[in-house]
Amino acid sequence: MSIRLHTGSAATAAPDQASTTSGDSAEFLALYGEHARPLLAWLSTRVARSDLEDVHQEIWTKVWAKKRQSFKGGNFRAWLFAVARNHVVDRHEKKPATPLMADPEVVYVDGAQRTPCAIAIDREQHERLGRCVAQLTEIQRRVVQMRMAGEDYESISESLHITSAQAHSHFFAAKRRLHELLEEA
Amino acid sequence: MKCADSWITLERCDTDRAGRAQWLERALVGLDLPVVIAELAAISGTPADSEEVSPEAVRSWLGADATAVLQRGLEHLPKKKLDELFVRPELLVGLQELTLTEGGQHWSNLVQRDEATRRIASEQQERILANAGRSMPNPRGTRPDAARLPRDPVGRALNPTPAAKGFAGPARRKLLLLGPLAAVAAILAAALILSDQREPLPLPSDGEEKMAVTSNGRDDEKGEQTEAEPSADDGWPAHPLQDLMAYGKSPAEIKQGVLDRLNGSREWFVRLDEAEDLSITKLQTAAQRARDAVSAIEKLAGSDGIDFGDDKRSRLKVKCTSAKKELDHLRSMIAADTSQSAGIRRAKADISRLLKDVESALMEACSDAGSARRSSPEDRKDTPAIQDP
Repeated sequence: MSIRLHTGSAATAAPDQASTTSGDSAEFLALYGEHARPLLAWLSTRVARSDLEDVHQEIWTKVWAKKRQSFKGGNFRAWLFAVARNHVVDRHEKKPATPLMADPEVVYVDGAQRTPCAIAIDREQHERLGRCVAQLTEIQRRVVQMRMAGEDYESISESLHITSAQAHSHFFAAKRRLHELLEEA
Repeated sequence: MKCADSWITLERCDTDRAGRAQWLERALVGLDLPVVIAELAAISGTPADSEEVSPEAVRSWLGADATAVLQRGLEHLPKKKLDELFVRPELLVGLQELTLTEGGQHWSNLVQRDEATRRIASEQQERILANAGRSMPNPRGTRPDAARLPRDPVGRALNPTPAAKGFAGPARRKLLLLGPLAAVAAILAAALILSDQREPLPLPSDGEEKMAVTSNGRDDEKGEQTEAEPSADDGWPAHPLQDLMAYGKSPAEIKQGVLDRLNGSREWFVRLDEAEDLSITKLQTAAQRARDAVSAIEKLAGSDGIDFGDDKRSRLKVKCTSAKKELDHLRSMIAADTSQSAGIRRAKADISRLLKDVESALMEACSDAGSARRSSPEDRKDTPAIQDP
């Protein structure tokens, strides 16, 4: 048996067919321990929150089932994310999963049409938040936008021809108002 | 996407440059990024149908700063570009993928500190292992090549496989430490599933209260109860845990035997989950076999082949001893409780809790275990079969 358990971004050799089951479990746990959390974070912007855990579990189940046949060594995380990407695309398109590919580079997202990521800016939530922002006064909205853009109160006050204290006051009034509006929405 | 009930961007984002960079980094490795993106898009007026910017496009956008960002984080991004991320949230998805797939140690450390992903990953590990156990090619969880080897009367391979013999050095230790975790996690999964079962348990039929436990004739620990009788019918591995010395003479061989046994037991717990009903006998057997697993872990903790460190070894031993006592008590309680299923449900929850306690102690002990001591000339000349990075 010659597993090279190198789970980071560098090369990982494929397990040979004679790998022990206990060894497989241990290796799988090591890989899971290192890569599950980045995968969850990645999935959070690609699937609805309510589906996140199911999709994550489906992907790891697929990885367990297919790893020996499909992972030919190299960068495990890149391979894992390629599997995940295909899985998410298939899920969005509601078609049977495509065969896993050994070379992660050839399955990279190939453009906006296949990008499963419109979920990142959920339209409904975007509109809900947008309606809240729209109810701010013009000056409150500008102050909030400038603060989010990283400008300090002095700079904001110069741009908007108000005092620094007024900029501060507008910002906190806007925050309070946005919270209220969100609760009402 | 989870709907925000407060403006986390406004509420939690720091206003100084370093604070903003750190806050955004945490968002990139956590589960709140969709909320952050939605809020930033609403504030900045970004259209909802903005196209995602691919990781490669983000890399181009980062330009000469890409390497510094991937290695050392967003604090090394010029202020102008950092601020742009807050008004062009469509960049964040591509940036997230770039940092998660190509980020260096800085990003790995951030990922490891995120509590939300840690919790989900930890909870799901048990379920995924249970699923994986069902798809294993060998139902007993033993090595395919080992299964073909001649065995002695207690079931150990007479000619250990290269895999069993060949592990040595730190990588071998890593595998040895992970092996029990795999088994315990699987056992936990089964126990947790048992606790989730909502239907009342069937009351025992005549004679069901008696648990099928017999002595295997060898008990190397004073006061140790005997393990459940191996049965060809229910798939329980036929390697007696108490007879650890039968696995070999060196600590390395004994440990391998313990691991084989622990991993072999996984399938049994998975099948228990799949059983249509759960009788008191089965529950008692589960308690006994959970006790066997705890006992095996206790043996592992007692082995001087792994340098757990005195404090952690001691805590693990105490935890195992305590869990065993409670499991013994549970078995008697289960046998006595023939009136209502409430007691049985509590017992299932207790089994789960005890295994979790032991798992936590084992994980703590394994977290920074020292170097394994090689105890035989054979060990010393072995070539590591698994190598650490």
